[in-house]
Amino acid sequence: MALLSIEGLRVTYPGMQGSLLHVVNGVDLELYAGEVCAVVGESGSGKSQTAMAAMGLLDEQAQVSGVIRFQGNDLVASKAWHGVRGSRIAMVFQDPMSALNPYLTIERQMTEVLMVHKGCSRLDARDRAIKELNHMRIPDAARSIMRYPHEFSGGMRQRVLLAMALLCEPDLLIADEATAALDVTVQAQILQLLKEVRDSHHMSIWIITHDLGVVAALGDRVAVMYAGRIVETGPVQEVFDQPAHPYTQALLEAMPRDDQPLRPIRGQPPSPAAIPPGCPFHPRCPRCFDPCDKEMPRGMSLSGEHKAACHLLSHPQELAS
Amino acid sequence: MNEMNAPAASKKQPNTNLGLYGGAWLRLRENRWARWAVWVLAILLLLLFAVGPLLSPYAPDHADWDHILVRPGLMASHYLGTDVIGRDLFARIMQGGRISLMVGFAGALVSLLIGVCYGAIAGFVGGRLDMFMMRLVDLLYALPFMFFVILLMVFFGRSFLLIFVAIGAINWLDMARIVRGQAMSLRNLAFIEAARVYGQSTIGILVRHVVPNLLGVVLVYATMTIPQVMMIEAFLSFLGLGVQEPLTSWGTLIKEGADLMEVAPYLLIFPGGCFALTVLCFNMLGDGLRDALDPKER
Amino acid sequence: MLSLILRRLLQAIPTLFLLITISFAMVRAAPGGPFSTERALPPEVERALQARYHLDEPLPQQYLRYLGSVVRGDLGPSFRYEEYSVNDLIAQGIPVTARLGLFAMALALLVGIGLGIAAAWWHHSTVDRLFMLAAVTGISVPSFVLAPLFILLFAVLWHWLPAGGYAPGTIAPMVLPVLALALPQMAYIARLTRGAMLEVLRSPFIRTARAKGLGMRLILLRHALRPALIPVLSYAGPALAGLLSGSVVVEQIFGLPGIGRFFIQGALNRDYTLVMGVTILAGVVIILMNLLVDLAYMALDPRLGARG
Repeated sequence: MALLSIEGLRVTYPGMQGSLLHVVNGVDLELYAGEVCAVVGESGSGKSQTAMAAMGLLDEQAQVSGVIRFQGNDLVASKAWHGVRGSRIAMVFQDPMSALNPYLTIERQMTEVLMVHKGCSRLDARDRAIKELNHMRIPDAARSIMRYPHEFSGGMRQRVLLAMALLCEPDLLIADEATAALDVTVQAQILQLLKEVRDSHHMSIWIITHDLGVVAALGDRVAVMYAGRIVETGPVQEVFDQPAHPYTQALLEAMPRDDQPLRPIRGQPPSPAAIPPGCPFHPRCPRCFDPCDKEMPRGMSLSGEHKAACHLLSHPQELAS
Repeated sequence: MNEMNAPAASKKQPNTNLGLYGGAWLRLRENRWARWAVWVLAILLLLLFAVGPLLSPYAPDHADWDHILVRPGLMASHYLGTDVIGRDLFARIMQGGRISLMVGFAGALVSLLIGVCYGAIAGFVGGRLDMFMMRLVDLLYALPFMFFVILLMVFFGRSFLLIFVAIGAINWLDMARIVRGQAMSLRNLAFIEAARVYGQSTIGILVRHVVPNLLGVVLVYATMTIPQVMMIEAFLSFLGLGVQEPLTSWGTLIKEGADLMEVAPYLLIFPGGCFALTVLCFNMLGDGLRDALDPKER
Repeated sequence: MLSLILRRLLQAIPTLFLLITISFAMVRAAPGGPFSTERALPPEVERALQARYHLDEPLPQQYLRYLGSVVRGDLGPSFRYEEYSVNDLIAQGIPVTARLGLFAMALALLVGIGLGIAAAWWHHSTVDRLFMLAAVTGISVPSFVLAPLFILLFAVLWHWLPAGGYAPGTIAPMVLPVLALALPQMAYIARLTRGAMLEVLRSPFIRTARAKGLGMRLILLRHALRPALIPVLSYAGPALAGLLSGSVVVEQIFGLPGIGRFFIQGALNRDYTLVMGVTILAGVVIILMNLLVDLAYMALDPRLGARG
């Protein structure tokens, strides 16, 4: 059984004058214990919103429908995030510079997690926090813990945030662009740390990124999102070697490589206020044909776990041409 | 920033088609309180400056010694009663309101002119001049201005003109700071750069880009300054230092009402109510404008 | 810490200088001397009076003399109350005004911040809307309307509280003045706090706190309140200035023998030195308040404390 399964998740926001903004449009996603699943997409594709929905952290204006089942409980219906958020599911965000409260010591910000979720005393919580900081290779953790966030560098802060997220030994860690704001070298260190965490803590990791390099480095499975939908999913190696969806192909081609010129994807992702009918990618798709602007393609299994939603797959003659 | 903010950003998207002020206008119209405030103010202005004098046959300074301290009543010819020497309160509130509002508008205009010029010069010129000018503002901020104004009124006679000047001289500091901040940030903005690259003249840039962008802030601030100025005028008049007989203002009327409130509470309640309602409407309109032009969720 | 205090005090010197200069200039530029309002005095009496108050000296000399004595903490003799110095008069008024101002400030800050937090807590609810309607009404009704209204209701109509009759050590006569003075500021502070709280609640570190699974109480009070207090703190200086000028009318209305009343009387009597003295005192109080605010910033924000 999946640790977390999302079925038909939709998130909409009220826009100006009664319009609706469709941010997530029917996402199905399953995460299994012990795997690293990467969700990729351009900004605005709804990947963060999906994760925020799973954490129950969306704005109060957001209308959420669908099922988010975590360890058997539907979180959307029961709204029972208490005891899950921060303890069973933890999350690390993009910008470590602003993700820590500048007014409180690291100690305060770390111990409160344990005190709230585990009922630890402050001293126990402190010991536990220092241990976790040591795991994250924060130098001189016993002293560092008394400092304020502004006394740390960006990479160090991200380590602190990671340590903070791991305090309750969650079953699932969501890393939302956790390395995007960092220098390349620091980025590599944090990725290395995440790898170690994956191996040592036996937890699932859900990575949200726009960086295919991160996916390649860390992911077991990848899901490609476009305009609030998952257009292709499968084992990382398979998807990278044989991308089925034209969007995935375009993303891979847009990846900077030494030997080839950069090929950016033409056009802009659609506004959530006006998502094109049919396949939302068709205005930008180089291989758009007859049914694409009318019918929504359904997900088709390619081999085992590799699935994609594209009309080409059900029209072999087009695929061949 | 990640997509946490994406919906918010795209929420603004429909407005970009309408231009900066089109969207603001829509948001303002959706604001119930601001709508109410506009209606009340419109009715008030109409009443004070057009209809009011037609409704009452009495001159504001006409003392009717046979009818002193008449209680208010719609059936009576003195709708809101009369004061201690038989002057019609309705007529006096009309006159007082005209003066209070005129002082409010004129004072706001004075502080607006000084503040915008000062702030714009400091912001656009920048450098040492800016530093010096802003240091001066800081310095002036720390002074107890109300005390100076009281002194000014006491020593230099209580002329109408002096009220504007005194009040304008107090209130321009905030305006100067705000405009300077805006001017600084505008100076460095990309679209100004772009306009320069496309060969627009400095005046062209000012007229086409800077003024429209400043206009919103200035409008909000002016709307908020009017009630402040009215407040100061009323404060001075209450102390007997503001508008003098035979003219009157709401502050003067409140003072007269406060002196007699045990005998005739309506003399306090009507002018006080009118004053508070007007200030309230300006404040609500100001809030509405600010929220409409700066659409952060409040 | 100490160096900051010293630096701030040094920075206050030009302000103080400006303060003294403007009040001196204004008072001396006023048409009519202190003795000209009454019936004409015999010339030799007037000359004697002028000599006594050094009014016969050239202006620059008067100015320097005044400046010198102010620096020594002596605000000079009163022009009207011959047997008193300005220091004596101010010392008489200070207990009343200080009590009035401090109570009003404390009330405005505590209740204002509390209401602001409550409104942010129940954001978008009826409570929030009601509070904010009350607050915008509150800032629209000035002390000089509230004060007579309070007297009318609580003293004249219901006889709950006295409207005057202040004597040292009594509390009841202070209740209405404090309320009338504090309410507008309280309303303003409540709006300020709510706005700042909502602003802070949008910041990324609050999202982290929510992701950690903390409850609303911890998020608001531990994580959001401190940064939200910064703009409230910045308003403390202006608030005090507002309270000081407000106390001028409130003391007048309630017949409290405070500094504000001396000021109005002094102004009407052309008591030059008294009026200058009160103005300078008000300025000094505001300067001190701003210093206090700076220290409080450091206590609140660890990023500032580090620099000392």
